[in-house]
Amino acid sequence: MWEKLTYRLNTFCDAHVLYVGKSGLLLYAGDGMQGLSDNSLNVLGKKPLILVIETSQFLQIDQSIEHIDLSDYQGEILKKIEELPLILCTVLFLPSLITKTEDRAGFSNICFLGKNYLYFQCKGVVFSVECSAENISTQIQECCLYLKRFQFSDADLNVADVEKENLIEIEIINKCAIRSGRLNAQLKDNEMVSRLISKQESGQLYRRVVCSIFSVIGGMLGIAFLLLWLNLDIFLRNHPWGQWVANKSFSEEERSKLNGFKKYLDFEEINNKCDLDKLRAIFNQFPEKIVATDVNWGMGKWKVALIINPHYLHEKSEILQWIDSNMTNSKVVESGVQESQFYLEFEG
Amino acid sequence: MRKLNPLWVLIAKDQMIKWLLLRLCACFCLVLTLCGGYLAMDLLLIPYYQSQQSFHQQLRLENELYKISLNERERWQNYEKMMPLFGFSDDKIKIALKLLCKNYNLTVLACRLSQEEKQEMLIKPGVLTVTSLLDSRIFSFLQHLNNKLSGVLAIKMIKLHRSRELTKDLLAKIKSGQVSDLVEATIEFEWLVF
Repeated sequence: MWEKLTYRLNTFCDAHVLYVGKSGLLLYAGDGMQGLSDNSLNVLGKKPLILVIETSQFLQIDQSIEHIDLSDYQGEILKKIEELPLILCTVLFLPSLITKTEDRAGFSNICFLGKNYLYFQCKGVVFSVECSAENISTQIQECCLYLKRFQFSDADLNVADVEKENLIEIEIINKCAIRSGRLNAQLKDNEMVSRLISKQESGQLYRRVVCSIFSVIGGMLGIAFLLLWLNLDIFLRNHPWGQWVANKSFSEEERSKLNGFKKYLDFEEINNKCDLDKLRAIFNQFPEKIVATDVNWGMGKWKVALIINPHYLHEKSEILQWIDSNMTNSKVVESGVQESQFYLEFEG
Repeated sequence: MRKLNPLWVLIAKDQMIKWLLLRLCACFCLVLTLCGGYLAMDLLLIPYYQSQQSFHQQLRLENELYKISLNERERWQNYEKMMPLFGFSDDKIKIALKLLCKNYNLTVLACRLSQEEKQEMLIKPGVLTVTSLLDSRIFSFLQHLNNKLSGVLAIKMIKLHRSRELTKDLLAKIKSGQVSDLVEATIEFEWLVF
Protein backbone atom coordinates (compact mmCIF):
# COMPACT_ATOMS: atom_id res chain seq x y z
CA MET A 1 0.00 0.00 0.00
CA TRP A 2 2.81 2.38 0.88
CA GLU A 3 4.51 1.59 -2.40
CA LYS A 4 1.33 2.51 -4.20
CA LEU A 5 0.99 5.72 -2.25
CA THR A 6 4.59 6.65 -2.95
CA TYR A 7 3.98 6.07 -6.63
CA ARG A 8 0.79 8.13 -6.56
CA LEU A 9 2.49 10.96 -4.76
CA ASN A 10 5.31 10.86 -7.29
CA THR A 11 2.81 11.54 -10.02
CA PHE A 12 2.42 15.02 -8.56
CA CYS A 13 6.03 15.96 -8.67
CA ASP A 14 7.49 14.09 -11.67
CA ALA A 15 6.20 13.73 -15.25
CA HIS A 16 6.93 12.16 -18.64
CA VAL A 17 7.05 14.32 -21.75
CA LEU A 18 5.68 13.02 -25.03
CA TYR A 19 6.87 14.99 -28.02
CA VAL A 20 4.76 14.75 -31.20
CA GLY A 21 6.72 16.08 -34.18
CA LYS A 22 7.93 15.47 -37.71
CA SER A 23 10.58 13.10 -36.51
CA GLY A 24 7.92 10.85 -34.97
CA LEU A 25 6.96 10.34 -31.34
CA LEU A 26 9.62 10.90 -28.75
CA LEU A 27 9.32 10.13 -25.07
CA TYR A 28 11.34 11.95 -22.46
CA ALA A 29 11.25 9.76 -19.36
CA GLY A 30 13.98 11.36 -17.32
CA ASP A 31 16.88 9.67 -19.08
CA GLY A 32 16.94 11.37 -22.48
CA MET A 33 14.66 11.30 -25.50
CA GLN A 34 13.79 7.94 -27.00
CA GLY A 35 11.49 6.75 -29.75
CA LEU A 36 8.08 5.58 -28.61
CA SER A 37 7.31 1.95 -29.23
CA ASP A 38 4.24 -0.08 -28.29
CA ASN A 39 6.12 -1.39 -25.27
CA SER A 40 6.86 2.12 -24.08
CA LEU A 41 3.14 2.83 -23.92
CA ASN A 42 3.03 0.76 -20.74
CA VAL A 43 5.43 3.27 -19.20
CA LEU A 44 3.05 6.13 -19.90
CA GLY A 45 0.42 5.19 -17.34
CA LYS A 46 2.86 5.38 -14.46
CA LYS A 47 3.45 9.11 -14.40
CA PRO A 48 1.55 12.20 -15.45
CA LEU A 49 2.21 13.30 -18.97
CA ILE A 50 3.08 16.57 -20.63
CA LEU A 51 2.06 16.37 -24.25
CA VAL A 52 3.99 18.56 -26.68
CA ILE A 53 2.68 18.93 -30.23
CA GLU A 54 5.31 20.34 -32.51
CA THR A 55 5.08 23.17 -35.03
CA SER A 56 5.25 21.04 -38.10
CA GLN A 57 2.09 19.19 -37.16
CA PHE A 58 -0.03 22.25 -37.80
CA LEU A 59 -1.24 22.90 -41.28
CA GLN A 60 -1.09 26.56 -42.09
CA ILE A 61 -3.08 28.51 -44.62
CA ASP A 62 -2.34 32.24 -45.09
CA GLN A 63 0.03 32.04 -42.13
CA SER A 64 -2.69 30.93 -39.74
CA ILE A 65 -3.31 27.60 -38.04
CA GLU A 66 -5.85 25.43 -39.78
CA HIS A 67 -5.74 22.08 -38.02
CA ILE A 68 -3.40 19.52 -36.54
CA ASP A 69 -2.16 17.11 -39.11
CA LEU A 70 -1.28 13.77 -37.59
CA SER A 71 -0.11 10.56 -39.17
CA ASP A 72 -2.24 7.47 -38.55
CA TYR A 73 0.27 6.18 -36.00
CA GLN A 74 0.39 9.52 -34.19
CA GLY A 75 -3.40 9.67 -34.16
CA GLU A 76 -3.54 6.13 -32.82
CA ILE A 77 -1.09 6.95 -30.01
CA LEU A 78 -2.99 10.09 -29.04
CA LYS A 79 -6.20 8.06 -28.98
CA LYS A 80 -4.49 5.53 -26.69
CA ILE A 81 -3.34 8.36 -24.47
CA GLU A 82 -6.94 9.44 -24.15
CA GLU A 83 -7.87 5.93 -23.05
CA LEU A 84 -4.96 5.40 -20.66
CA PRO A 85 -5.66 6.09 -16.96
CA LEU A 86 -2.92 8.66 -16.81
CA ILE A 87 -3.01 12.23 -15.64
CA LEU A 88 -2.50 14.59 -18.50
CA CYS A 89 -0.65 17.43 -16.89
CA THR A 90 -0.63 19.89 -19.71
CA VAL A 91 -0.73 20.12 -23.51
CA LEU A 92 1.87 22.28 -25.16
CA PHE A 93 1.16 23.46 -28.69
CA LEU A 94 4.16 24.77 -30.48
CA PRO A 95 3.07 26.55 -33.64
CA SER A 96 5.75 28.42 -35.63
CA LEU A 97 3.53 31.10 -37.04
CA ILE A 98 5.39 33.82 -35.30
CA THR A 99 8.81 34.66 -36.55
CA LYS A 100 9.82 37.37 -34.16
CA THR A 101 8.59 38.51 -30.77
CA GLU A 102 9.66 40.23 -27.59
CA ASP A 103 8.77 39.81 -23.91
CA ARG A 104 5.47 41.43 -22.99
CA ALA A 105 3.33 41.57 -19.90
CA GLY A 106 1.19 38.46 -19.53
CA PHE A 107 3.61 36.38 -21.58
CA SER A 108 6.65 34.58 -20.27
CA ASN A 109 9.75 33.03 -21.74
CA ILE A 110 10.27 29.33 -21.22
CA CYS A 111 13.08 27.09 -22.34
CA PHE A 112 12.16 23.65 -23.59
CA LEU A 113 14.51 21.23 -25.31
CA GLY A 114 17.01 23.97 -25.98
CA LYS A 115 14.55 26.41 -27.57
CA ASN A 116 12.96 29.53 -26.14
CA TYR A 117 9.20 29.84 -26.24
CA LEU A 118 6.79 32.62 -25.51
CA TYR A 119 3.86 31.13 -23.61
CA PHE A 120 0.69 31.98 -21.82
CA GLN A 121 -1.91 29.96 -20.05
CA CYS A 122 -5.61 29.80 -20.70
CA LYS A 123 -8.13 27.48 -19.04
CA GLY A 124 -5.31 25.36 -17.73
CA VAL A 125 -3.84 24.74 -21.21
CA VAL A 126 -0.47 26.19 -21.94
CA PHE A 127 0.02 27.72 -25.35
CA SER A 128 3.52 28.35 -26.52
CA VAL A 129 5.14 29.85 -29.55
CA GLU A 130 8.76 30.06 -30.45
CA CYS A 131 10.18 33.35 -29.39
CA SER A 132 10.89 36.00 -32.00
CA ALA A 133 11.29 39.71 -31.63
CA GLU A 134 9.33 41.05 -34.64
CA ASN A 135 5.71 41.60 -35.49
CA ILE A 136 4.44 41.13 -31.96
CA SER A 137 0.94 42.44 -32.72
CA THR A 138 0.39 39.80 -35.35
CA GLN A 139 1.76 37.15 -33.05
CA ILE A 140 -0.64 37.99 -30.25
CA GLN A 141 -3.51 38.38 -32.70
CA GLU A 142 -2.78 34.95 -34.06
CA CYS A 143 -2.70 33.54 -30.56
CA CYS A 144 -6.09 35.05 -29.82
CA LEU A 145 -7.54 33.70 -33.01
CA TYR A 146 -6.05 30.32 -32.24
CA LEU A 147 -7.74 30.31 -28.86
CA LYS A 148 -11.04 31.34 -30.42
CA ARG A 149 -10.79 28.44 -32.76
CA PHE A 150 -10.70 26.04 -29.88
CA GLN A 151 -13.67 27.74 -28.25
CA PHE A 152 -11.93 29.53 -25.40
CA SER A 153 -14.05 32.50 -24.43
CA ASP A 154 -12.89 36.10 -24.65
CA ALA A 155 -13.08 36.35 -20.89
CA ASP A 156 -10.11 34.01 -20.58
CA LEU A 157 -7.91 36.31 -22.60
CA ASN A 158 -6.05 39.12 -21.03
CA VAL A 159 -7.86 41.83 -22.97
CA ALA A 160 -5.83 44.56 -21.32
CA ASP A 161 -2.68 43.06 -22.74
CA VAL A 162 -4.26 42.74 -26.13
CA GLU A 163 -5.42 46.34 -26.11
CA LYS A 164 -1.95 47.46 -25.23
CA GLU A 165 -0.89 46.12 -28.56
CA ASN A 166 -3.48 48.41 -30.27
CA LEU A 167 -5.62 45.56 -31.38
CA ILE A 168 -9.29 46.15 -31.89
CA GLU A 169 -11.27 43.44 -30.22
CA ILE A 170 -14.07 43.48 -32.78
CA GLU A 171 -11.51 42.93 -35.47
CA ILE A 172 -10.30 39.78 -33.73
CA ILE A 173 -13.84 38.52 -33.32
CA ASN A 174 -14.63 39.16 -36.96
CA LYS A 175 -11.51 37.38 -38.14
CA CYS A 176 -12.25 34.56 -35.79
CA ALA A 177 -15.77 34.23 -37.12
CA ILE A 178 -14.52 33.99 -40.68
CA ARG A 179 -11.93 31.39 -39.80
CA SER A 180 -14.23 29.41 -37.54
CA GLY A 181 -16.74 29.14 -40.35
CA ARG A 182 -14.08 27.87 -42.65
CA LEU A 183 -12.55 25.54 -40.12
CA ASN A 184 -15.74 24.03 -38.79
CA ALA A 185 -16.41 22.42 -42.11
CA GLN A 186 -13.18 20.51 -42.26
CA LEU A 187 -11.94 20.18 -38.69
CA LYS A 188 -11.46 16.64 -37.56
CA ASP A 189 -8.85 17.39 -34.94
CA ASN A 190 -11.00 19.91 -33.05
CA GLU A 191 -12.75 17.13 -31.18
CA MET A 192 -9.51 15.39 -30.40
CA VAL A 193 -8.01 18.57 -28.96
CA SER A 194 -11.17 19.08 -26.94
CA ARG A 195 -10.91 15.58 -25.60
CA LEU A 196 -7.27 16.09 -24.68
CA ILE A 197 -8.16 19.32 -22.92
CA SER A 198 -11.03 17.57 -21.19
CA LYS A 199 -8.66 14.83 -20.03
CA GLN A 200 -6.22 17.39 -18.81
CA GLU A 201 -8.94 19.21 -16.92
CA SER A 202 -10.15 15.99 -15.33
CA GLY A 203 -6.53 15.39 -14.27
CA GLN A 204 -6.50 18.80 -12.68
CA LEU A 205 -9.82 18.10 -11.00
CA TYR A 206 -8.39 14.82 -9.76
CA ARG A 207 -5.42 16.65 -8.30
CA ARG A 208 -7.67 19.20 -6.68
CA VAL A 209 -9.80 16.46 -5.12
CA VAL A 210 -6.75 14.59 -3.88
CA CYS A 211 -5.20 17.79 -2.51
CA SER A 212 -8.47 18.68 -0.78
CA ILE A 213 -8.69 15.25 0.82
CA PHE A 214 -5.06 15.52 1.87
CA SER A 215 -5.83 18.92 3.38
CA VAL A 216 -8.82 17.52 5.27
CA ILE A 217 -6.73 14.57 6.49
CA GLY A 218 -4.00 17.01 7.50
CA GLY A 219 -6.53 19.17 9.34
CA MET A 220 -8.00 16.16 11.09
CA LEU A 221 -4.56 14.93 12.05
CA GLY A 222 -3.89 18.42 13.41
CA ILE A 223 -7.06 18.26 15.50
CA ALA A 224 -6.13 14.72 16.55
CA PHE A 225 -2.70 15.88 17.71
CA LEU A 226 -4.28 18.79 19.56
CA LEU A 227 -6.71 16.45 21.31
CA LEU A 228 -3.90 14.02 22.02
CA TRP A 229 -1.92 16.86 23.56
CA LEU A 230 -4.93 17.95 25.64
CA ASN A 231 -5.35 14.37 26.82
CA LEU A 232 -1.68 14.13 27.71
CA ASP A 233 -1.84 17.52 29.39
CA ILE A 234 -4.82 16.48 31.53
CA PHE A 235 -3.13 13.20 32.35
CA LEU A 236 0.17 14.84 33.32
CA ARG A 237 -1.50 17.61 35.30
CA ASN A 238 -3.86 15.41 37.25
CA HIS A 239 -2.06 12.13 37.66
CA PRO A 240 -1.16 11.78 41.31
CA TRP A 241 2.46 10.80 40.61
CA GLY A 242 3.70 11.53 44.10
CA GLN A 243 0.83 9.68 45.71
CA TRP A 244 1.97 6.21 44.74
CA VAL A 245 4.66 6.21 47.42
CA ALA A 246 4.11 3.10 49.48
CA ASN A 247 2.37 4.19 52.65
CA LYS A 248 1.48 1.81 55.36
CA SER A 249 -2.22 1.11 55.33
CA PHE A 250 -4.05 0.48 58.56
CA SER A 251 -7.02 -1.55 59.67
CA GLU A 252 -10.31 0.22 60.32
CA GLU A 253 -9.76 0.08 64.06
CA GLU A 254 -6.21 1.49 63.81
CA ARG A 255 -7.38 4.25 61.49
CA SER A 256 -10.15 5.28 63.85
CA LYS A 257 -7.65 5.26 66.74
CA LEU A 258 -5.16 7.40 64.77
CA ASN A 259 -7.89 9.85 63.71
CA GLY A 260 -8.90 10.13 67.35
CA PHE A 261 -5.26 10.80 68.21
CA LYS A 262 -5.26 13.66 65.70
CA LYS A 263 -8.36 15.16 67.35
CA TYR A 264 -6.74 14.71 70.75
CA LEU A 265 -3.60 16.55 69.56
CA ASP A 266 -5.60 19.30 67.84
CA PHE A 267 -7.79 19.78 70.91
CA GLU A 268 -4.73 20.09 73.12
CA GLU A 269 -3.13 22.52 70.69
CA ILE A 270 -6.03 24.93 70.28
CA ASN A 271 -6.79 25.26 73.98
CA ASN A 272 -4.62 27.33 76.33
CA LYS A 273 -3.89 25.78 79.67
CA CYS A 274 -4.23 27.99 82.71
CA ASP A 275 -0.95 28.27 84.60
CA LEU A 276 -2.02 27.72 88.22
CA ASP A 277 1.60 27.52 89.38
CA LYS A 278 2.10 31.21 88.68
CA LEU A 279 -0.88 32.14 90.81
CA ARG A 280 0.19 29.80 93.58
CA ALA A 281 3.70 31.26 93.44
CA ILE A 282 2.43 34.61 94.79
CA PHE A 283 0.74 33.00 97.77
CA ASN A 284 3.72 30.73 98.41
CA GLN A 285 6.07 33.72 98.23
CA PHE A 286 4.04 35.80 100.68
CA PRO A 287 2.20 33.34 102.98
CA GLU A 288 -0.38 34.97 105.27
CA LYS A 289 0.62 38.37 103.93
CA ILE A 290 -1.64 38.37 100.91
CA VAL A 291 -5.18 37.08 100.27
CA ALA A 292 -7.14 36.76 97.01
CA THR A 293 -10.76 37.85 97.18
CA ASP A 294 -11.66 37.39 93.54
CA VAL A 295 -9.90 35.29 90.89
CA ASN A 296 -10.78 35.22 87.15
CA TRP A 297 -9.08 33.40 84.31
CA GLY A 298 -9.94 33.42 80.63
CA MET A 299 -8.15 33.62 77.25
CA GLY A 300 -4.76 32.99 78.94
CA LYS A 301 -5.03 35.91 81.32
CA TRP A 302 -5.40 36.02 85.11
CA LYS A 303 -7.25 38.87 86.83
CA VAL A 304 -6.92 38.73 90.62
CA ALA A 305 -8.23 41.04 93.32
CA LEU A 306 -5.75 40.97 96.24
CA ILE A 307 -5.70 42.31 99.78
CA ILE A 308 -2.53 42.71 101.77
CA ASN A 309 -2.73 41.82 105.43
CA PRO A 310 -2.80 45.21 107.28
CA HIS A 311 0.04 43.98 109.51
CA TYR A 312 2.29 43.65 106.48
CA LEU A 313 1.21 46.76 104.63
CA HIS A 314 4.69 48.23 104.96
CA GLU A 315 5.88 45.41 102.69
CA LYS A 316 3.55 46.48 99.89
CA SER A 317 6.31 47.98 97.71
CA GLU A 318 8.39 44.83 98.13
CA ILE A 319 5.40 42.68 97.12
CA LEU A 320 4.68 44.83 94.08
CA GLN A 321 8.31 44.76 93.03
CA TRP A 322 8.37 40.97 93.27
CA ILE A 323 5.19 40.77 91.15
CA ASP A 324 6.65 43.10 88.57
CA SER A 325 9.82 41.08 88.17
CA ASN A 326 8.27 37.59 88.30
CA MET A 327 4.95 37.84 86.46
CA THR A 328 4.84 38.02 82.67
CA ASN A 329 3.20 41.19 81.35
CA SER A 330 1.83 41.97 84.79
CA LYS A 331 -0.21 45.05 85.57
CA VAL A 332 -1.10 46.30 89.03
CA VAL A 333 -4.03 48.66 89.56
CA GLU A 334 -4.77 50.23 92.96
CA SER A 335 -8.39 49.84 94.02
CA GLY A 336 -8.59 53.39 95.32
CA VAL A 337 -10.88 52.28 98.18
CA GLN A 338 -8.35 50.79 100.54
CA GLU A 339 -4.58 51.07 100.47
CA SER A 340 -4.24 47.34 101.11
CA GLN A 341 -6.45 46.38 98.16
CA PHE A 342 -5.27 46.21 94.54
CA TYR A 343 -5.94 44.35 91.30
CA LEU A 344 -3.38 42.27 89.48
CA GLU A 345 -3.41 41.18 85.83
CA PHE A 346 -0.86 38.83 84.30
CA GLU A 347 -0.49 36.25 81.53
CA GLY A 348 -0.51 32.61 82.41
CA MET B 1 -18.53 20.84 -26.49
CA ARG B 2 -16.06 19.12 -24.17
CA LYS B 3 -17.47 16.64 -21.74
CA LEU B 4 -16.04 16.46 -18.27
CA ASN B 5 -16.20 13.27 -16.25
CA PRO B 6 -18.33 13.86 -13.17
CA LEU B 7 -16.45 13.90 -9.88
CA TRP B 8 -17.96 10.66 -8.62
CA VAL B 9 -16.74 8.84 -11.73
CA LEU B 10 -13.24 10.10 -11.11
CA ILE B 11 -13.43 9.05 -7.50
CA ALA B 12 -14.83 5.63 -8.29
CA LYS B 13 -12.25 5.03 -11.00
CA ASP B 14 -9.24 5.73 -8.92
CA GLN B 15 -8.04 3.48 -6.14
CA MET B 16 -6.06 6.27 -4.57
CA ILE B 17 -9.17 8.27 -3.88
CA LYS B 18 -10.63 5.20 -2.22
CA TRP B 19 -7.45 4.81 -0.22
CA LEU B 20 -7.55 8.46 0.76
CA LEU B 21 -11.20 8.23 1.73
CA LEU B 22 -10.34 5.23 3.88
CA ARG B 23 -7.63 7.28 5.58
CA LEU B 24 -10.05 10.15 5.96
CA CYS B 25 -12.46 7.83 7.74
CA ALA B 26 -9.59 6.50 9.87
CA CYS B 27 -8.60 10.07 10.78
CA PHE B 28 -12.21 10.90 11.58
CA CYS B 29 -12.40 7.84 13.82
CA LEU B 30 -9.11 8.86 15.46
CA VAL B 31 -10.44 12.36 16.12
CA LEU B 32 -13.66 10.89 17.50
CA THR B 33 -11.69 8.48 19.69
CA LEU B 34 -9.50 11.27 21.02
CA CYS B 35 -12.59 13.44 21.60
CA GLY B 36 -14.05 10.54 23.55
CA GLY B 37 -10.74 10.16 25.34
CA TYR B 38 -10.74 13.84 26.23
CA LEU B 39 -14.27 13.64 27.59
CA ALA B 40 -13.45 10.44 29.45
CA MET B 41 -10.39 12.14 30.98
CA ASP B 42 -12.43 15.15 31.92
CA LEU B 43 -15.47 13.35 33.29
CA LEU B 44 -14.07 10.12 34.68
CA LEU B 45 -10.32 10.16 35.12
CA ILE B 46 -10.01 13.54 36.88
CA PRO B 47 -12.67 12.72 39.51
CA TYR B 48 -10.99 9.33 39.93
CA TYR B 49 -7.59 10.95 40.41
CA GLN B 50 -9.09 13.44 42.84
CA SER B 51 -10.63 10.65 44.90
CA GLN B 52 -7.29 8.82 44.78
CA GLN B 53 -5.58 11.99 45.86
CA SER B 54 -7.84 12.46 48.88
CA PHE B 55 -7.46 8.77 49.75
CA HIS B 56 -3.67 9.04 49.61
CA GLN B 57 -3.72 12.31 51.55
CA GLN B 58 -5.68 10.55 54.26
CA LEU B 59 -3.24 7.64 54.17
CA ARG B 60 -0.27 10.00 54.39
CA LEU B 61 -1.87 11.78 57.34
CA GLU B 62 -2.44 8.49 59.11
CA ASN B 63 1.18 7.54 58.50
CA GLU B 64 2.35 10.86 59.91
CA LEU B 65 0.18 10.33 62.97
CA TYR B 66 1.61 6.87 63.32
CA LYS B 67 5.12 8.37 63.28
CA ILE B 68 4.09 10.92 65.92
CA SER B 69 2.70 8.13 68.07
CA LEU B 70 6.06 6.37 67.80
CA ASN B 71 8.11 9.49 68.48
CA GLU B 72 5.98 10.79 71.34
CA ARG B 73 5.30 7.66 73.28
CA GLU B 74 4.19 9.49 76.40
CA ARG B 75 1.44 11.44 74.62
CA TRP B 76 0.29 8.35 72.81
CA GLN B 77 0.15 6.42 76.07
CA ASN B 78 -1.83 9.25 77.68
CA TYR B 79 -4.20 9.21 74.75
CA GLU B 80 -4.60 5.45 74.96
CA LYS B 81 -5.21 5.73 78.67
CA MET B 82 -7.88 8.37 78.15
CA MET B 83 -9.58 6.73 75.18
CA PRO B 84 -12.64 5.56 77.17
CA LEU B 85 -13.25 9.17 78.29
CA PHE B 86 -13.88 10.32 74.71
CA GLY B 87 -16.97 8.16 74.53
CA PHE B 88 -18.51 9.46 77.74
CA SER B 89 -22.16 10.44 77.71
CA ASP B 90 -23.43 13.59 79.48
CA ASP B 91 -24.38 11.62 82.55
CA LYS B 92 -21.04 9.88 82.74
CA ILE B 93 -19.21 13.20 82.46
CA LYS B 94 -21.31 14.67 85.26
CA ILE B 95 -20.72 11.61 87.47
CA ALA B 96 -16.97 11.69 86.78
CA LEU B 97 -16.72 15.37 87.67
CA LYS B 98 -18.79 14.94 90.82
CA LEU B 99 -16.60 12.03 91.96
CA LEU B 100 -13.53 14.11 91.30
CA CYS B 101 -14.97 17.04 93.26
CA LYS B 102 -15.71 14.67 96.14
CA ASN B 103 -12.04 13.64 96.15
CA TYR B 104 -11.04 17.26 96.63
CA ASN B 105 -13.77 18.00 99.20
CA LEU B 106 -15.70 20.27 96.89
CA THR B 107 -19.42 20.65 96.85
CA VAL B 108 -20.98 20.63 93.41
CA LEU B 109 -23.72 23.22 93.12
CA ALA B 110 -24.44 22.80 89.43
CA CYS B 111 -23.16 20.99 86.39
CA ARG B 112 -24.61 21.73 82.94
CA LEU B 113 -23.58 20.30 79.57
CA SER B 114 -24.51 21.06 75.98
CA GLN B 115 -23.17 19.90 72.61
CA GLU B 116 -21.65 21.65 69.58
CA GLU B 117 -19.27 21.07 66.66
CA LYS B 118 -16.10 23.14 66.58
CA GLN B 119 -13.33 22.90 63.98
CA GLU B 120 -14.54 19.50 62.76
CA MET B 121 -14.55 18.23 66.35
CA LEU B 122 -17.53 17.27 68.43
CA ILE B 123 -17.25 18.90 71.82
CA LYS B 124 -19.46 19.25 74.87
CA PRO B 125 -19.22 22.66 76.52
CA GLY B 126 -20.13 22.65 80.18
CA VAL B 127 -20.34 24.81 83.28
CA LEU B 128 -19.46 23.48 86.71
CA THR B 129 -20.17 25.43 89.89
CA VAL B 130 -18.44 24.27 93.06
CA THR B 131 -17.97 25.58 96.58
CA SER B 132 -15.29 24.88 99.14
CA LEU B 133 -13.99 26.01 102.49
CA LEU B 134 -10.52 26.71 101.10
CA ASP B 135 -9.55 28.11 97.74
CA SER B 136 -6.48 25.84 97.73
CA ARG B 137 -8.79 22.84 97.31
CA ILE B 138 -10.31 24.41 94.26
CA PHE B 139 -6.85 25.17 92.87
CA SER B 140 -5.86 21.56 93.44
CA PHE B 141 -8.98 20.40 91.66
CA LEU B 142 -8.18 22.73 88.74
CA GLN B 143 -4.60 21.47 88.73
CA HIS B 144 -5.92 17.93 88.43
CA LEU B 145 -8.17 18.88 85.51
CA ASN B 146 -5.25 20.64 83.85
CA ASN B 147 -2.73 17.86 84.24
CA LYS B 148 -4.65 14.62 84.22
CA LEU B 149 -7.45 15.39 81.80
CA SER B 150 -5.53 17.47 79.29
CA GLY B 151 -6.65 16.55 75.74
CA VAL B 152 -10.10 15.51 76.93
CA LEU B 153 -11.14 18.48 79.00
CA ALA B 154 -10.09 22.07 78.35
CA ILE B 155 -10.78 24.83 80.87
CA LYS B 156 -12.11 27.89 79.08
CA MET B 157 -12.85 30.20 82.02
CA ILE B 158 -12.49 30.29 85.82
CA LYS B 159 -14.35 32.62 88.19
CA LEU B 160 -13.47 32.26 91.85
CA HIS B 161 -14.69 34.47 94.62
CA ARG B 162 -15.42 34.47 98.33
CA SER B 163 -19.04 33.66 98.88
CA ARG B 164 -19.33 35.23 102.33
CA GLU B 165 -17.97 38.26 104.17
CA LEU B 166 -15.48 37.39 106.90
CA THR B 167 -17.05 38.64 110.08
CA LYS B 168 -16.21 37.87 113.67
CA ASP B 169 -19.25 35.62 113.95
CA LEU B 170 -18.28 33.75 110.83
CA LEU B 171 -14.70 33.32 112.06
CA ALA B 172 -16.07 31.97 115.32
CA LYS B 173 -18.26 29.53 113.45
CA ILE B 174 -15.30 28.42 111.32
CA LYS B 175 -13.26 27.75 114.44
CA SER B 176 -16.10 25.69 115.87
CA GLY B 177 -16.34 23.76 112.57
CA GLN B 178 -19.90 24.81 111.78
CA VAL B 179 -19.18 26.54 108.44
CA SER B 180 -18.41 24.39 105.47
CA ASP B 181 -17.90 26.58 102.40
CA LEU B 182 -16.45 30.04 101.95
CA VAL B 183 -15.27 30.07 98.33
CA GLU B 184 -17.32 29.57 95.19
CA ALA B 185 -15.89 28.79 91.74
CA THR B 186 -17.53 28.66 88.35
CA ILE B 187 -15.57 26.70 85.77
CA GLU B 188 -16.43 26.76 82.09
CA PHE B 189 -14.94 23.84 80.21
CA GLU B 190 -15.12 21.79 77.00
CA TRP B 191 -15.13 18.00 76.80
CA LEU B 192 -13.99 16.32 73.61
CA VAL B 193 -16.07 13.42 72.34
CA PHE B 194 -15.77 11.17 69.26
